[in-house]
Amino acid sequence: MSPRILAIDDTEHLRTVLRLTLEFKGHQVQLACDGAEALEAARKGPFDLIICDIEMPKVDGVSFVRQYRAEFGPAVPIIMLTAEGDEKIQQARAAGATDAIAKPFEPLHLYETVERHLSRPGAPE
Amino acid sequence: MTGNKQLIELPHTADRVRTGVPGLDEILGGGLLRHRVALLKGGPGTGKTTLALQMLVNGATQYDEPGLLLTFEQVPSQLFADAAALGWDLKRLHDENRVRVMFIEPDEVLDNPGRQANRLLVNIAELAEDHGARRIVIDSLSHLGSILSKDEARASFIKFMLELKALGLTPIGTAEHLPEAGVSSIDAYLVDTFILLDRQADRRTLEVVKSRGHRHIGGRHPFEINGAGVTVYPHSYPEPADGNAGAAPAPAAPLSSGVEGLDEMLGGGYTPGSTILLAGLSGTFKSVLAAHFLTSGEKGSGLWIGFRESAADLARDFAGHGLAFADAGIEVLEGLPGQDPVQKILAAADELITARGIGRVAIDSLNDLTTGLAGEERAEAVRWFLRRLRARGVTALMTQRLARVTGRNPLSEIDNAELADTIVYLGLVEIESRLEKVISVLKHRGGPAAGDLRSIQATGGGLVVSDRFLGISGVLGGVALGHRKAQIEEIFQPLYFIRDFLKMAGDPGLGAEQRAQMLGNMGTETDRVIGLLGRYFDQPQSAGKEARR
Repeated sequence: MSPRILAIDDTEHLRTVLRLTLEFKGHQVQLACDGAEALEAARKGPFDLIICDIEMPKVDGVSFVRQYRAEFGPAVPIIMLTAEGDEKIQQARAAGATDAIAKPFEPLHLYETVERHLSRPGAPE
Repeated sequence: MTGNKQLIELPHTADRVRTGVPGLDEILGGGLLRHRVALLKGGPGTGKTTLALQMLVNGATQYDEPGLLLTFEQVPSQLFADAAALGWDLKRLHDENRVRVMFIEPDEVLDNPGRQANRLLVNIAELAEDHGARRIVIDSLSHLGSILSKDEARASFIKFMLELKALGLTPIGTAEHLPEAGVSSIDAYLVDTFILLDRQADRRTLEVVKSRGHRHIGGRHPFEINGAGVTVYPHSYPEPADGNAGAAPAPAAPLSSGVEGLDEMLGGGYTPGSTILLAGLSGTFKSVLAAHFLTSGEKGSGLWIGFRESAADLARDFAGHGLAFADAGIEVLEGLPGQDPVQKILAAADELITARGIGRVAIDSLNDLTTGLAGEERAEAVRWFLRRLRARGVTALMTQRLARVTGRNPLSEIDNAELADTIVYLGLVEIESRLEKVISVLKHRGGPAAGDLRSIQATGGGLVVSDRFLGISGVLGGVALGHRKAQIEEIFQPLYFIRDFLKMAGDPGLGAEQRAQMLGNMGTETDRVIGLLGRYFDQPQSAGKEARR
């Protein structure tokens, strides 16, 4: 079964590009606009990997990671997307994020990162 | 040996003659020294006679110390009328023997100087004994000099004063100040307290040039003469008694600035009890930002010190920004820039703060508050006020108009930067051919500051601090080079997508359907880039369509 990925970003265009990019590799993609919506989605179905923007209205990326980890534990890798500097990335890592990619992202780099985390020992086939 | 000085023993517990003139006793460290000669010197119209008369009237009415007024200049009826204009019933005081007026016509004294002086002393002695006079004003000492022996001017002046002291009187003399005349026989060397009065246009100041045997607050102190006489505004004040001055504010939850985005930049908000400077160009919402802070506090906790607008005008202006200024119970203290001495305004504010339990103060603006003051005097007055506020735990916000910021280090171009714990800069920058209002936290003691630059906009519901700008340089100089973060992302994201998908399109293993879908997506993304560039560079969108035809 193809991996299920939850992609969260508040910009419509970026959600579209994420979907096109990931679907092209055969991943199943579910989109969310912010952290609150993403938590709802996470409760409904298990995901193999999460890609999450940091700067978002309502529940931002760092808060989402913190809440997600508190509720679902450390198993699922979470890759942050950010245009902010190291400080924000450190905050996200401290909250439980697995990795980070700079925005605007390069699709080939995204594939590489996603594949790396999906193929970790213990990750779903 | 320094002559006279050795002969005068300084009293340890000085008996003071309180002048009762608001602010003056504070400057004199309690009042004039009893049985010592005080001299009020100044040019015409500086207020010497008024000040001397006030000391006399206050003595009689407030301190149970009757007085004598020896005048060579004004006939009693004129003097009574002048005093009445200041609210003093000198006529009644004279009739009740509490302030006896002795008028001596100049012609009278010219006849026979030496004898006149002796006769005068006899008269004074009689009056002093009959009415228990403790103070005597001599208006003026210059005239008195004309009835003293010409040969031994200094000696006869000293002798005359000694006689007065022997009668239990404290002599207060006036004298014309003629800078070109140089040292006269009744100058500072012969008196114990020497107060110099000055007047430049509407601005009056006085300075205690000398006060033998007691400490005083030096420098020029502004004063005014209004319906109640002289009021002096000491430009420097003793430290607050609680000794809390300058102490670092205790850690407490930050206070919201009233603007969410700014709070975020400040790591929560302003530090309670701190001083915040809102510095910026004209029209960059400095006042509105200050009003946000006052209106977001508890009702009745704010004080607005302003100079340009009445309370009603302020309420109307701020209502336009969605702020309930009128309903927030904010005290408004209006000053006239350059006319009201800064000390007067600050003293009034200080009183209000104590009386009403004010916790938030906005000064709009520091420029108006300190108009007409020289650098050190200005800094001293403001510093004193801020120390007082700090000691009371008041959070103070001051706006400061900047002409413009030119350099790379705006902090160096902001006056009084050292006075503030937090400095928020407000400016205008040109970005993508548009003028944007921007806000940045340049300094923030007691908390983290974002240090970045964001846009600030007025909406009907208050100020909104939004987007962060990225990759911009030269903003503080007023000309920004660069793009908004969002704009960078908007253009580069589709380009990265197209580039990487072009690379993948070359994969021979790709199915025809998948390749077609991929090319379609790249076409959509390319159109997107053309659209964005067309908008930013003002190019008609049809150019793209024609090119594809």
